Amino acid sequence: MIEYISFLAGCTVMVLGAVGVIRFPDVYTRLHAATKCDTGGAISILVGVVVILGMSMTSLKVMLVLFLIFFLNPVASHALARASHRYGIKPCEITVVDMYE
Amino acid sequence: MSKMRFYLRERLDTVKHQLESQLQYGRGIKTWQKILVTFLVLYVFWIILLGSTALPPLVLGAGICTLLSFFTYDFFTKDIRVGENFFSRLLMFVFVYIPELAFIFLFRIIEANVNVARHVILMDINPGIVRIDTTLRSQTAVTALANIITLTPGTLTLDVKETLEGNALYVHWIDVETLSTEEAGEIIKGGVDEWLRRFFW
Repeated sequence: MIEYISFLAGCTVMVLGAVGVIRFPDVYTRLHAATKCDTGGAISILVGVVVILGMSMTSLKVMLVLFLIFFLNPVASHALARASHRYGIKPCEITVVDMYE
Repeated sequence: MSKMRFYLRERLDTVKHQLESQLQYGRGIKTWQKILVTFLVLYVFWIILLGSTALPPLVLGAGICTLLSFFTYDFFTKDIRVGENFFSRLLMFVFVYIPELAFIFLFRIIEANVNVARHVILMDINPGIVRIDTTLRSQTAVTALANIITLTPGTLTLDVKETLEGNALYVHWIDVETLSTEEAGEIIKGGVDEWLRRFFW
């Protein structure tokens, strides 16, 4: 039962993240949607997989994948955001403040 | 004359900064402790990837991990701060601090997802890039702090720059609440700063 709730929550979060990537106005806010929803959705789905597998070596490997996603997703988003700011892509018009320069 | 004075001041600050960094570096853990930590991390990784409990691969892994940890012990452990009792700190780290962080983190990730979902549906965004300061110096600690800030609700780290007091982080905030650097730091960092300062400098 827990695993299906977990799968459902993960899929919902992933879909909302995809909608956010389309709806948000500029690259930085889109990265918000992409990073957080991907990490949360992947963690939720993998926790469901771990619950189905039970205590075994395979579930240990799945937990390793979870750990790597947890570390590598923020690094990728940071690299994308920094590269686009250095390339000269301006934040959208409703941006309040830009202290980075 | 005034320019000269500014130059001297700047130079003095740089020297002070270097001295402090070297002093901190000198207070790191001892070499055999570094080798032990590296060995443990590598061996746990090997056991997870192995996926079985047969004896020959375990012995082979132990040998190769020992060899590797003698060569590479300085890469990941040079930022760890010294403590009074090494083994009790190691056990505390594995069994108390890591679960504590994971528990806090789980709820913050759920909050972040709910937050983004709300922003997607309502589009009530108010974005901006603010600067926050931290007194952490080492690369490991700043990397961990930046990653955690990216995963907590509403914030995304853009860049890190070294300053005299530590490091400055430029954070894209989807719903800006304040423009002052200190208040923003309080809100964004929370207690993660203090948590990291127990182990890294």
